[in-house]
Amino acid sequence: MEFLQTPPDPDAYIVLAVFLFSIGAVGFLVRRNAIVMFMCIELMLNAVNLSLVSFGRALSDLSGQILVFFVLVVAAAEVMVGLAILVAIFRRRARASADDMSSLKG
Amino acid sequence: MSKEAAENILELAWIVPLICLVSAGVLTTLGRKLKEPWGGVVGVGAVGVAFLVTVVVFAALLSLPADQRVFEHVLFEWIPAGGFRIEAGFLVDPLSILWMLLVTGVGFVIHVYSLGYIAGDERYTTFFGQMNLFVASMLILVLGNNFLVLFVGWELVGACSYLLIGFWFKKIENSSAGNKAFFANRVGDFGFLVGLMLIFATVGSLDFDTVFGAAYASLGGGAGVPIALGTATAICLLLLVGVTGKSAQVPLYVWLADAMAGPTPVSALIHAATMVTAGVYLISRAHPLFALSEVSRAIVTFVGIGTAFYAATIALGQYRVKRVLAYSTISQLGYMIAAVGIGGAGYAAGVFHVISHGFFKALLFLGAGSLMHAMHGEEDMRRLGGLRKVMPWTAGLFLVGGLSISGIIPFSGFWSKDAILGALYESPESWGKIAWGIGLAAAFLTALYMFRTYFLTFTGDRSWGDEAHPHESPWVMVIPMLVLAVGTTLWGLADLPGSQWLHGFLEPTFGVFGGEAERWTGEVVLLLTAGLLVGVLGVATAYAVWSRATRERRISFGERIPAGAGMFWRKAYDVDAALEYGVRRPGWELTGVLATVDEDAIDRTVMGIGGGAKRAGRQLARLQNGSVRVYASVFLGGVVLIAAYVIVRGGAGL
Repeated sequence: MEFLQTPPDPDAYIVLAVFLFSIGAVGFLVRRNAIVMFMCIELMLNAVNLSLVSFGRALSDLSGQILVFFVLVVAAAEVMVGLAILVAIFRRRARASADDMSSLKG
Repeated sequence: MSKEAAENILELAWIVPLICLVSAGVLTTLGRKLKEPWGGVVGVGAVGVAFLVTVVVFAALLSLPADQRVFEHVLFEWIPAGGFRIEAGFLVDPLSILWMLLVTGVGFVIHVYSLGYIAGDERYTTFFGQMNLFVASMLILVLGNNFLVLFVGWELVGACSYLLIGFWFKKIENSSAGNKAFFANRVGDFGFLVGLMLIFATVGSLDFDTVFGAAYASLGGGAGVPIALGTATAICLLLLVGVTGKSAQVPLYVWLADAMAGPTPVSALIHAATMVTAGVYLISRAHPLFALSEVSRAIVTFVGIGTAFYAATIALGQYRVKRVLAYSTISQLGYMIAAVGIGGAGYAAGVFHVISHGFFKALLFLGAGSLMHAMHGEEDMRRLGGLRKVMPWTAGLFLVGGLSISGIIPFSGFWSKDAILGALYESPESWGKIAWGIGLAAAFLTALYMFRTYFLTFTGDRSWGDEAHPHESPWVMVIPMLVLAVGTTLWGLADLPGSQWLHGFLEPTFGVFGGEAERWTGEVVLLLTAGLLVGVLGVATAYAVWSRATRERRISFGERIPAGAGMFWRKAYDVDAALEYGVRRPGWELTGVLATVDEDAIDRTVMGIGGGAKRAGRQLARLQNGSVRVYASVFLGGVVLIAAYVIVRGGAGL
């Protein structure tokens, strides 16, 4: 495990992760299309993945990378369920605006 | 009968109340579906069978040797709650079997009489159902082997009296008389209940066995938790509060006179067989507790004998036959309470008088009922008179009852009342002789008011209007009276001085507390003579004053009395008015104040808290508007805040 002996500087990766996350978060808040919102979530998740990997490398700790696997799996499952719901909604409404999906509120 | 056979029979004693209970259930459920004669047949039959079973149980008990005549049997575990365990069981001993015989025997006679009295009433079947329930309750009361079962019977009896006194509830007086009985009893029952709690807190059990064992232990014999003198006094006095309610003693006697509102057989049942003797039973049963506290026995004795005298003076002023009888019951119960209060030979004497009174008071009540039946409900002595000629049987039987209660030889009233007076006089307690003096005075008044009633009703000029057509009552009503008259004539034999069968029979129950049996001594003869003389004097005075009352005199009776004090006396010392001003109105005011506090302070606070939560909830619910992006913003905001907090705190804990 050679790369663990010389931890690189993680600054650049973290900056990139912050940008990615910000884009995802802002996109999630400003866009209405549910599919785009999903893509934004993926952005945020991957930004977090990137920071996990970077810190794992920097701190010589494998748990950051292991955590990424979990995130990937969960994200895959989440997207599958989410898209299935979206398809179901499409069939009834023919639109994918998140603002219209408020009929289940209390 | 072999011992085993006898015990097998005794084990089935619980069937007696069950018969009446089942019959009561059937009759009240079926109500009008069961047509007229059949409801009565079932009701009367049930009590009749119960009486027969009781007689069999009695025979079984008699066949056992005297020292084994206390039979206890646990039926089932009633309330198992941790350390608090109550078993429902019954206790057959000489005391309870005598009460069972009285309740079912006299109860049966009264039921038969009701067949005639209540005939044609629209709630005929219900009436018999409730009467049966009354009998069943009293049986539960006397059969229980612990205070809680007794209490169940005690409460049931109160509920039944409420139902039956207000049986003709369409008239407001009747239902309010029922209420009055219920309220007075509630006050008493509260005392009783607190007494039971105190017993439980002290002894840790409500079983007669354990509680009385503790009492024996405190007296220096046997094992058990000793009871302190102060506690014993408190328990006894609290039980006495219950007794004054149920047995109509001063100060809770007020309900019994109004209980006349019920149908006459109900009055007979309340006064003679069920309910009011419950207090005497309770004190007799709890005699080991009372033995602990001389103070409480003195108080019980004087409450009793004081009531005997006080109620007798009221009875003398009444004009309505049933009211006289009601106050007479209060007075006679006073004798019994005094007897069981002073203890010793008084226990047997009290029980003797209970049964003696059961006979003659039932007889007198049925006589009064027969009279009212004939006169269409008229019972005011000022409008009666001379009835002996039209209803000779009723008059003759009423006379027998009157002689008995007045203490004229050879009727049972003579023997039992003098047994009580004798027990008071001969008691080792210093206050016994004072009580005896009051009792003797009350005995004179008893003879006086009873024969005032007799003479004004059955002799002298007839003072009823031409519209009345009095007639002798049907045989179904006369024969029960005849049976009771025979009973009151012969019952005195049960406890004659010298033989004292009853005293001996009760020995397994009272044991060392029962006192010595009475012998024929000069003192006893003197006491008996004194009692008889007082009775004769009363009858003679009544004869001289009232036997030849003319119509005019009767009517002027009320006017001759000086207005102030006289009216005060006639209205039973205006206790009702005193209660109205002293208790009901302050109570009503207090209720008003409490209601205001409840509505304005408590309700508003509670409603305010509820309303506030509701409004806050409604505001908060607006946040959940269904917009995913708003949720996400809030979420993000939260994350930023937490992150900011962590950074400012310098990443502590991370």
